[in-house]
Amino acid sequence: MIFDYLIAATIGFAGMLGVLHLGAEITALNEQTFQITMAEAILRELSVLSHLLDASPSDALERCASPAGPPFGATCPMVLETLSTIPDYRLKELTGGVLELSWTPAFRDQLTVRRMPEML
Amino acid sequence: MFSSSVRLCRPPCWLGGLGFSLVECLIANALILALISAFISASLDVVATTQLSAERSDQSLRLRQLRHYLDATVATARMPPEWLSQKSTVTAATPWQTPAAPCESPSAVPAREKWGGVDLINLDEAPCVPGGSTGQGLYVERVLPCPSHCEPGPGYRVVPSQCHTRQLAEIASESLWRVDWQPNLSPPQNCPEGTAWGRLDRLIVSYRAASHSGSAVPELRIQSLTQGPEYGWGSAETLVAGIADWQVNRINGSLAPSASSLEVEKTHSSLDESVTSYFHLGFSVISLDGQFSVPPLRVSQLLAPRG
Repeated sequence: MIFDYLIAATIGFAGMLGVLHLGAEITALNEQTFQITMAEAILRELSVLSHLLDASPSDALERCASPAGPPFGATCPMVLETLSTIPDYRLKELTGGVLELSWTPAFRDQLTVRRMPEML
Repeated sequence: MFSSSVRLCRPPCWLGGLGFSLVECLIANALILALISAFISASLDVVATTQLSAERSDQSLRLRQLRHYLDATVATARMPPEWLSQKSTVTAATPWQTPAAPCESPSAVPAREKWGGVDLINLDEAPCVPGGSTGQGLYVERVLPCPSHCEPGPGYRVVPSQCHTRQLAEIASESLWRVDWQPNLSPPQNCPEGTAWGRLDRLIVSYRAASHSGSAVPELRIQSLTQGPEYGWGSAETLVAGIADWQVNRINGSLAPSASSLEVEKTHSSLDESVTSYFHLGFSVISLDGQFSVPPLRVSQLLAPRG
């Protein structure tokens, strides 16, 4: 009887732990979907800003630090606010004008989103 | 009840009669119940968190859908560069041109050097656009090269004007294009093989607040031309639901080196080709689930012509 009881309890605990793990995985997946979408949005806006300014994306991001007038006044706050939702991000400009945004979600592998220069 | 519990906790023979007392069984049951309660509570928290993150993910996916749609739409809002003569290509990287008026049939418009364009229109002043849309609408005139990028069927065809009198090399430098309605889109006759032609399409993206639509959520709507030979606009359809605080501005001005020279213009006017012109969109993606609502996702998007 005691073994039956232990087996049933073990199965119950394992099932509950499985449900918790599944929930955590779903949450992480949704979080990554959100982060990837926002990373794409950031890279897109930086691409457009750099195109309009005829400057590099990093220069455009620097000018966002003190935005004045359009398009900075409306776009830069969104870019900076969205960047703050991406944990431990690294923004790089690769050869050929490719923009790369990398970050590391909690307890996950690094994620990277790239944007080609012609995709304006 | 007690007799049942006693019977359940009765030790089996192989335990040599040691077994558990009733109190021990009750304590064990209480511990198990406490653990189960804790797990259920944690599970409920996880479920709630999952639903909130799913709602946030849904917001971001609707944002992505809208962004990609707008990018794909305005990318075709000009003549393909390979269609334009060398002289025109030099200026093709400059701003979108102003398209023909939305209430004017393209087949009634005289031949133009360029078709396509993006503009802001006041829907209150566009009686040909049905559906009770009000406010500003983003009006896009697209040129889709055929046969590679256009669907067969009825539509407006863009072809070089007077190509029947020209040779292929001369058509390449031809600067005027005309539009005619075709019951079934086909390559222009009397033109050399390989002559460029395409489909001209128009659409209007408009915003409708929840109070106007009678529904619970505000939405972005899209209107296209009707398919018949008689020019007109079809009824509006939902493009993306749950879009609030929609704002669209056209910005004309030179950006470098100082942004202070920029001029925000919201009215319909022709653009100076020597300045940069683009559109700024601002909107919020709101939650569609009232029970697990998350804060609106405020977004800004710049629409600029390809360089």
